[in-house]
Amino acid sequence: MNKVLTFLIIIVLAALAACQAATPTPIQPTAAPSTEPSPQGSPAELVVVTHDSFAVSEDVLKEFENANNVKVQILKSGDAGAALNKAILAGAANPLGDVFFGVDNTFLSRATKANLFEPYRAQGLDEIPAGYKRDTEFRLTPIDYGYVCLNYDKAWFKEKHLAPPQTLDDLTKAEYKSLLVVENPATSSPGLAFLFASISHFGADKYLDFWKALRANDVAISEGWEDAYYNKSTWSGKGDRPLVVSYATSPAAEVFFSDGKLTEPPTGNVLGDGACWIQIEFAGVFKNAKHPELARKFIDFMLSTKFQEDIPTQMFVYPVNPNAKLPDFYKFAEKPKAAAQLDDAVIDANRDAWIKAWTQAVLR
Amino acid sequence: MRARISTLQSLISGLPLLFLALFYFYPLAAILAFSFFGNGALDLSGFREILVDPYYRNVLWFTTWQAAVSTILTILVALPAAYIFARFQFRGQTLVRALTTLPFLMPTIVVAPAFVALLGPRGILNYVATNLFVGAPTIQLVGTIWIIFLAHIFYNYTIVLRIVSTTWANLDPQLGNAARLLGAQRARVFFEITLPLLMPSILAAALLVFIFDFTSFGVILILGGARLATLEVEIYRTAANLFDLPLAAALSLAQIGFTFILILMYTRLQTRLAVTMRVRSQNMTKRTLKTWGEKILVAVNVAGMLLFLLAPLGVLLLQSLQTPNGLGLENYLRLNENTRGSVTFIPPTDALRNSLFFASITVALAVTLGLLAAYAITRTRRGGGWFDAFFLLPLATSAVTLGFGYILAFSRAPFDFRAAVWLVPVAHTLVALPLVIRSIVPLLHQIKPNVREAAAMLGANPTRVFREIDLPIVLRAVLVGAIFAFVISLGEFGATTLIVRPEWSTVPLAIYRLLGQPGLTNYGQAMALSTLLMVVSAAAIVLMERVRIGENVEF
Amino acid sequence: MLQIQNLSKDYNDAALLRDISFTVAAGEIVCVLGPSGTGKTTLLRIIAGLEQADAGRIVFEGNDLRNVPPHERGFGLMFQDLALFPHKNVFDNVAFGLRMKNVATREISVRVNESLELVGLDAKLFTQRDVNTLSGGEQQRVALARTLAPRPRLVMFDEPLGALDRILREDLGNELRALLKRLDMTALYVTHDQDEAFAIADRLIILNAGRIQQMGAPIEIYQDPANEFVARFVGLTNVLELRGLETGDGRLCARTDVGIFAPDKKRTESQDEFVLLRPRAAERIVEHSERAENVLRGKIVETFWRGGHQWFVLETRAGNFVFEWDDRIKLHQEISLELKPSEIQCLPGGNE
Repeated sequence: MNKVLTFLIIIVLAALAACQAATPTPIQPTAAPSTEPSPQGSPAELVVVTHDSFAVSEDVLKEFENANNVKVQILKSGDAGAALNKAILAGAANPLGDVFFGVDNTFLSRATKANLFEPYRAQGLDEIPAGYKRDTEFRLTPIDYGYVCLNYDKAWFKEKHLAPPQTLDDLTKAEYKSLLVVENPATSSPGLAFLFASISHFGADKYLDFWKALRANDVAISEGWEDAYYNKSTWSGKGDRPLVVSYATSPAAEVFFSDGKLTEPPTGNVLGDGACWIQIEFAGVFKNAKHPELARKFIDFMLSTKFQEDIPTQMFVYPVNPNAKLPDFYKFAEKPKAAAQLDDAVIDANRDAWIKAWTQAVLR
Repeated sequence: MRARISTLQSLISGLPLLFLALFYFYPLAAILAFSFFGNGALDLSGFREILVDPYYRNVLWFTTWQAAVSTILTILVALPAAYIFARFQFRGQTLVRALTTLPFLMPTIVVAPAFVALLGPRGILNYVATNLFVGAPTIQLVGTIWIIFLAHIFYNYTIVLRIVSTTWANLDPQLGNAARLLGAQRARVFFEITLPLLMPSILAAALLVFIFDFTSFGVILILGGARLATLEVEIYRTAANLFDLPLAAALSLAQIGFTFILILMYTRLQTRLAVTMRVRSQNMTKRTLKTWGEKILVAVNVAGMLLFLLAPLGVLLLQSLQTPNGLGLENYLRLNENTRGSVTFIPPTDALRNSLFFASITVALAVTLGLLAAYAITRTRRGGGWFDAFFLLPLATSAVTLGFGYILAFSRAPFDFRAAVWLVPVAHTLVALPLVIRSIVPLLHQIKPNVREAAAMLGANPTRVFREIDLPIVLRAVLVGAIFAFVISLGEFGATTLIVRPEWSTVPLAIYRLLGQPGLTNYGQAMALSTLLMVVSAAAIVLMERVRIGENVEF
Repeated sequence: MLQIQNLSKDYNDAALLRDISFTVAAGEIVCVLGPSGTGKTTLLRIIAGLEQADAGRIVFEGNDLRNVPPHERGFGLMFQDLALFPHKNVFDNVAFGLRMKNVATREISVRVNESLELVGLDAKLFTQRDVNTLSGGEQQRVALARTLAPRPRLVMFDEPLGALDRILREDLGNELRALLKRLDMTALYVTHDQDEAFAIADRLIILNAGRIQQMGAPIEIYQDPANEFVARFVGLTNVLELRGLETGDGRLCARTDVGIFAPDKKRTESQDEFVLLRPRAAERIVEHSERAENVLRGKIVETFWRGGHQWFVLETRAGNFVFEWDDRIKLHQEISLELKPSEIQCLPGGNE
């Protein structure tokens, strides 16, 4: 009997010990010895609600914190869609935090309709090209943008003496049969972007014909980017698809994450007419935020060159601020001359119907 | 006096129920209310859509039959191993058993690449096939039902193995011997004596496996390809992507309702099949391998089991050693390097520590509540079945639905738990609790009520009876439950990602983050971290199995 | 010491125990005897506190036990299937009750050894044994030692010898009585086996269909069974159905299908329905009897020995009857058996 008790006690003690050990070092720089004690007393806590892909350099954030005597608490809640849904569920009266980062243009209308954000004209907004400023009421401020593009396996095409496709129309040709993998727009954000690109290119009445042709050409469907990129692509070593819907910056990232082994990206982008879709990410100040003034300052900070220049290496997207310098390895990232676009209101009105129609045409 | 007893009893059954009410029913009710009354008026359009659109009937049908077939296959594959673990004592047994648990804790996002590497178009299987039979067509398993079956067996093997072998080990071998003296053939002994006695635990395992397969998500999503969808996948798409909450809620309710009916049928059957029997200490029933036949039987079985379960995990290990500069340990050595100086970077060692911390809390919570609940279930004459079924419901509930419920319920008064760290082990406990209960209940049923009464007659009060009789006898099962709770917590992703604060990030989250970006080092580090998770978990499980209680009497 | 007052219990809407009242004196061994399914076990379980009666009281040493839970009653109960703790060895089984009473560790081991020796087990050989490896008889003894070790105020036995073979049963039965007497324990013993009951009891309670049929010392019950059921149950099976009562020569005469019987006992009343012919009633075997009453005519079909006496079976028109007869007998012979009036008795029917 005593041994049973001992067993239980051991479990509890182990848990407690782990508790002690696991008390994590807070992410935000706590009053480090070098930091001067703030005269205003203990810093306020600013909560930034965002998605899993959000990242920022420690020293960049520290600068904001020190300047404003604030601790920034980052609250992540799933992928971009989940994070926004979570914020909508929590409601405007009772926001999850002060600032939200990570609404993209495909969900812009859903976010503005939910009436979660306070209008604010950020400092430096004037320098941002008009094309990124999608919300006329200034509730959501553009921060970064990127392109969803087709990546192709350079080595594979070279070996087969086949020219990579140039445009979306090429994909239905016989020589590209069984070469393409796309993500399901119902579960994946690059998948959805690629669907929008096809609608923009072919028109709302014709795009299904394109997809039916793709289906006849043996397109493979993945549920998410990870599966398509790491399991189905030829360059993953496991798959048999040399054409994958991914991001325009992916080839550059391949070089960046190769420990200096690669000097040339193994993949290239299909940049032809309307083949890429632009994704713009926005940030907003929550209505009923606890620290609205600090929240607005954080938006300003996100548009500052300091933060903007941090974006490319942290999140592998482009800063919206044209003054921000790009890191060296971005020379491997190519931009399309003209990206596909659709009106936000049109997207919002048709998104579900398009996805359902796509599912019907391609999957069933 | 009597009043005191009933207070104690209501406390025993009350505590787990309270837990369930607060952390399951309340958030569930919150999301359902929000979904159906979100626009001010009752919106049941979701139900109409389900009934009208034949697509959803097909989804339900597919969900059900793939789960049924997967369950049957899992049981058939795992039963021989359950026998071997129950009846024989051999070297390395604990380690082998611990290894069989590993698949259970591996996130699908990691297992899927391993399966693809083995069975994919350019996988080892096809490599072997095309080299043996020149010109053989590529075997396409990915995206078919077959790889789903395989993955389901891979994941749930350990449930059947552990639950059934625990009961089998306690079966009196004399029963079989007696029957054989009466002239029964070996096969008949099995079908007429052993199988009926094992039935309650087989059913208990089967129910769990079925529910896991029925609500299968990652396996279907990644390996099954986009054309195969279970209800759970459909709910996820509807809720998370389309944000069509009325439809998602209707689908969730359909899933819960269907599973609930199934669980009730099971509990009925379980009470009919429950046989109290003499529990035997494992010292009595286990023996070392004597004949060559036995040795070969065990060796072949263990080898097959390890090949099947560990090959995908071995692939992970191999891939974790692949770096841009060839094979090496770089992925491990550089895990803790914050190359980009990111503020949201959590060193994987910290993530591992967080994971272990959450897992220990989950074990303590789930074991305590599970014991109380199992005790209440077996002691309640009426309503025990319902009680039992309630605790299985969290497994039958779509993670995204419940996740949304958590946001609604716990981000405002009176329960403002936003960013509360303890919500993570609580959510893990919700998932682990049914497994703990299912592990314990069959053994508790086996204890003759007489034995408890004998203890009472000798002066033991109800608490003492529980501590002296029930607890030691079910300890083995408690251990099994504890291990389940441990690995569930270690592998959990869906709920954690919605609840946890970044500095408390766990290993699966870290793996997802690494896999979310292109580049060979990211992939290699993800595999390294997975391997690390496996090794640490295996060590912890072996350690847990080493705990022996009582005077060498193991139950 | 123990008083049971008007105890009743229904089971599935049928009466299981009806209006049971009796007492057990200190140091007395009372045996509840009855066929299976008559509520004997339930009676014990109610007294033990494991079940609740629907009506009636249980008073022990002047205290009503209604609200006392089983573990606080200080009673011992030895179960029919023994209910040994399968996960504890012999020592821990026997020590259990002592530990619950918080007896000091050193004393526990002394008393465990004592109890084991008391039931005839060698403590040195047995304390560390796994109970699952013991033989049936050894398990029985361990269960007995476990029940007796804490010296319960009242010890109850529920068919404790049921699973044993006959010889072992008789051995243990005799030993048990001696043991209980030696320890001066108050005991309530339940069985369906009349030999066992008669061997062990100071006093018997015959139970049938939930009612007490008769209470008394074994000799009283054997000599004067209260009714036909008790008679048959204690082994007095020569029972004839009564067809009518007649008065002749100032005596009662009972008319049956096979003649008239005139007992010399006074107790012959109008509700009597049966005539009992005791086995020792055989007085004379003749070819033809002159008597008009107390004669049974039939054929001797079988003889056998039991308990040091010769018995024979007489086949008559009303069935077979068994008598004791220590003289030579010819088989397959039509005879007339003259009976002693003192060994004849009229009985009422069973108390349903």
